[in-house]
Amino acid sequence: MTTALLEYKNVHKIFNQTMVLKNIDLTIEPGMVVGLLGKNGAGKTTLLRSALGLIEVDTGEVYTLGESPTQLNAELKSQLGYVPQQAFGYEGFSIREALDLHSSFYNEWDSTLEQDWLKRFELNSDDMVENLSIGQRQALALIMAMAYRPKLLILDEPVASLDPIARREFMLDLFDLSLESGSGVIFSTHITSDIERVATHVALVKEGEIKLFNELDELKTSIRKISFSNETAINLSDFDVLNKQHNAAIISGYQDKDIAGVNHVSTLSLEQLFVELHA
Amino acid sequence: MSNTLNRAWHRGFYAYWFKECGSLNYLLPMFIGVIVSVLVMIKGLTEALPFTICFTSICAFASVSWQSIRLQATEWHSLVPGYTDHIVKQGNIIIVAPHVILITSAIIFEQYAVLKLLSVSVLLGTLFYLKCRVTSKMFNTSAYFFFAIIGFTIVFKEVPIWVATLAVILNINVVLFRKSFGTAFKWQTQALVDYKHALQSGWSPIPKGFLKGYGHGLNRFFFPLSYFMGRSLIQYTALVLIIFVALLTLNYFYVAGRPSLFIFSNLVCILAFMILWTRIQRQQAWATLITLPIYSSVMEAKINYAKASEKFALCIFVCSALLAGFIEFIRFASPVFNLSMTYSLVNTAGVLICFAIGNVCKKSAFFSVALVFTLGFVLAITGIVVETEAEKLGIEHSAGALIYLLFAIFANRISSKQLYTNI
Repeated sequence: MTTALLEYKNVHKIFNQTMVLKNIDLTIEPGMVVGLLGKNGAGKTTLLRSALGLIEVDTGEVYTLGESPTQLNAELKSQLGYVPQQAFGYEGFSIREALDLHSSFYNEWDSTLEQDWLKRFELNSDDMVENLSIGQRQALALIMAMAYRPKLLILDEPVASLDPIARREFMLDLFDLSLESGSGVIFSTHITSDIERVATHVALVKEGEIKLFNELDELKTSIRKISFSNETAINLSDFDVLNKQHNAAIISGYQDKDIAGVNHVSTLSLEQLFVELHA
Repeated sequence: MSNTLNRAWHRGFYAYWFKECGSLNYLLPMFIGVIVSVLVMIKGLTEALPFTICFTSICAFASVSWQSIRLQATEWHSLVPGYTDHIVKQGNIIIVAPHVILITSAIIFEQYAVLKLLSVSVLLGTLFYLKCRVTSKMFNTSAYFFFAIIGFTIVFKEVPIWVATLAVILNINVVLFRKSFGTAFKWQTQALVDYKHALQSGWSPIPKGFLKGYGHGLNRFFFPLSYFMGRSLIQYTALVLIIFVALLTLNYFYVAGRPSLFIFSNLVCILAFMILWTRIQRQQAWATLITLPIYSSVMEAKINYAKASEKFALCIFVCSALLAGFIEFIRFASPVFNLSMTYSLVNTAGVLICFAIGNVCKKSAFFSVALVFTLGFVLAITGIVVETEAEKLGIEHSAGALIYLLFAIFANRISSKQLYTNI
């Protein structure tokens, strides 16, 4: 039995009388790369921050590396990597100075990896952090979060500001890192192609709730959009209905069998699924 | 399990504290304050000591308090093992070192009154810092501290022994029970907003919503200076008027002529500093200013900026002349032309000199350093005028002040051509 790197159990969180996290159950194990997909304000960042102890949940339990996120000791923290949406904190430092200080907090810092990624992201060590573009800051934050090969990586929209080439390369590295070192990764994004490229699992968040959590391949084979002309004539009780409209529905659990009353069955890309679920 | 053994306390010290313009703004005056205080003790100039001591002490606390706002704004700091402790250790050194130097100097040069004063200033500074560790909302109080320094030193020139003893006891208790202030350095979403706002506004003590929706006419009058400042310029202008009226009222009831004039000069220079600081923080606004269908060239925009700063200086001139004239009228029952004229010319020139220095500074860190010396220079000149007996001021002093003002106008115009526009 593998130990979960991150575990949410029936988590709820209310902000300003709005439920921003609703009944969250999610487990991340070594080797999993979980893409968290959701609209702005869906609760992705809150979900990630609650795993870090930055936000405390109202009910339910969160375990990060087997411990409550607010009780993480130095040893556990050194196995945890985090890239926030907004990279801030090393203003006044050059890249070299920032990495020099940051690396001093980690015994397992991999200087070769650091240098490789500096080259890959075309970062000049002498540049001042405050003069970097948003994408470059994000790249630096990624290096800082990953160069010590953490066991659990939590990334909040890590590649949104990177150019497509850097993004593609980084995402592949992320996947390799996870495979090599048995790490677990959870990252939020709007870019469905990134999830399709590297994620092993997808969690779809809508209005604070995880609507779907499954292996990416499983998701592709079991989710369909069905069209019908008479809503009352079809029986969808064998399926998990994710979204239903007047003459169409998104169902999960499809097994390549005919459904009575259905005119058309179509597969969905992740992007189509995302759009359809928010229709 | 962080490798703290391999990390010296000063690792990242220079970059964290000296290359971030916020903390540098307080650290530099602190260093100057320490040097001046020690020199003043050596020379035995006890009159100046309360001011320099309080100034140094508050600067040290303000610098560390500012960085505690930055820590609260840094989302990841608590997740990096040992990071917060490392920064806090450096902050503690910044607080302790100047105070140790001051205490040691006071003992060596037998300035024991300094110890009593320090006990009070350290208590206030500690309270301020402990509050800033738990909330990002309190930092602008430091601006009030700076405004209050002068009054504070006047009040506490002679600290009674019982007050000093009480302050020490309270300080020990406050430090021991520091946890009761709340969780220190906890990340808060609002902290980054507060950090950036304070940095952009130059730690303006004025509430954000003050005079909202007013002053469109003034904004047009001060354009394009107001373009960079937004509502802050109207707020600062209103603040000048409020201070002006307050000092007039004070002088109507009490004879406080010279300190009033010096306080007014100090505050006017601080306002000039805030205006320039905000403009430097918003350099990227030049790009949009130039795209407006107003100016035909970048140079024209720069010249108009210089003219707008002269308009601001003109307001200072009017207020200074009225203030000095009124004060002298109360004291001598007749207006003393030479004092009010010399004072207002010198005061206005000081503001324009600050603007000229601000024009040639591209980075806020460099600006902070340059302006500390500039403020020292212009306030020294104003101080000489204020300290000179009114009867001794002749027409030649006014003429000298006029030349100084003309030089300042010239410097402002010429330097405005060097304004960094990021275009």
